[in-house]
Amino acid sequence: MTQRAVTIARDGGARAGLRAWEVLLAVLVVTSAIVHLGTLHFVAYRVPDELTMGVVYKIFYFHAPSGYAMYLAATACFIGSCGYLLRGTSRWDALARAGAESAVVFGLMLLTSGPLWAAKAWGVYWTWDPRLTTSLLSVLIYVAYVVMRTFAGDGDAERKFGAALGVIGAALLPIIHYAVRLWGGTHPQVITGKGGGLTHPDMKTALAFGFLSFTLLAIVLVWTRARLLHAAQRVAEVENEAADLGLIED
Amino acid sequence: MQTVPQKVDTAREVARQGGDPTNDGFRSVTDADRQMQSGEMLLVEAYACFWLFAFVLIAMTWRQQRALDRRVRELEAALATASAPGKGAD
Repeated sequence: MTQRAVTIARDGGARAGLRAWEVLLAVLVVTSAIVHLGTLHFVAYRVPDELTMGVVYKIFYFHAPSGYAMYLAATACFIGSCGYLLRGTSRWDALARAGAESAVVFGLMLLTSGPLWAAKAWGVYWTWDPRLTTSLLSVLIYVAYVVMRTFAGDGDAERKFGAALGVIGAALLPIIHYAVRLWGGTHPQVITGKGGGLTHPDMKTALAFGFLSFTLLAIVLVWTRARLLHAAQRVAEVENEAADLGLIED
Repeated sequence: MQTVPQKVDTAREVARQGGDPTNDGFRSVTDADRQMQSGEMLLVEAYACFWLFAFVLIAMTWRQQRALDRRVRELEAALATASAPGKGAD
């Protein structure tokens, strides 16, 4: 048990250059907040209503980006899971767990905003459309990951099982993305490679702002959670060392 | 005196009265106001959900960070005690 161990535990194992990363994270947080507020303002006051759906279609400017942010978080979980399976270090595990937690949050945003929009546009909150069903399955996989990691301990077996879930969850992402093209269904395909169905320039600008704000939010959440989880793992290791030396009680 | 036909609410009621339940004609309802969804209200509810979920995760992170800080302080206190003169520290 050394002073160095406690210092490492305090800063989550970060080495030289920590201050620069902290500044970068703070800049990202502030930028994310400003872009979110700007997007809200733009969507509320500049973007026109849609002909058939009216004002409710404006859910789209946060609904589609939240789905995209879920992809980003799930990708972080996939990278962390692969890293843990290959290297077995706690840093990769923390990234995987942070990605899964963020994927659950963005997935819940997606699965609540979609039905609220559908209630007006389709007349029902939910239908077993291919994209909706695959999205729900994907979110349930990440919910299972988070529940398992929260209540089943933090041993190597649990981490490896979680990493396997992280890989399986990522395998579902392309299926969600191409579900509309493959199987049709009720869900529209507004964003396409040919320019999509956004006819007004302000609609495209608002969607671009939405994607930017959710990209920043996803980076901030995954990064913050990963640092916290890694720091918690290091503190637990140091506590075990201290307990072995009789400095603290188990 | 001509009989005024009664309004019916459901297809089952239509069938019971000898009508055609597959008829696509207009049927009366008694809760039309509740069936009309307000687009503005749905929009506000959706945006509230976005912020609610984000703030729940941020609040959880803040709470866990505080718990972690407390554990580090306890470790530092244990280390200081062990390092004090007369104590056997490594």
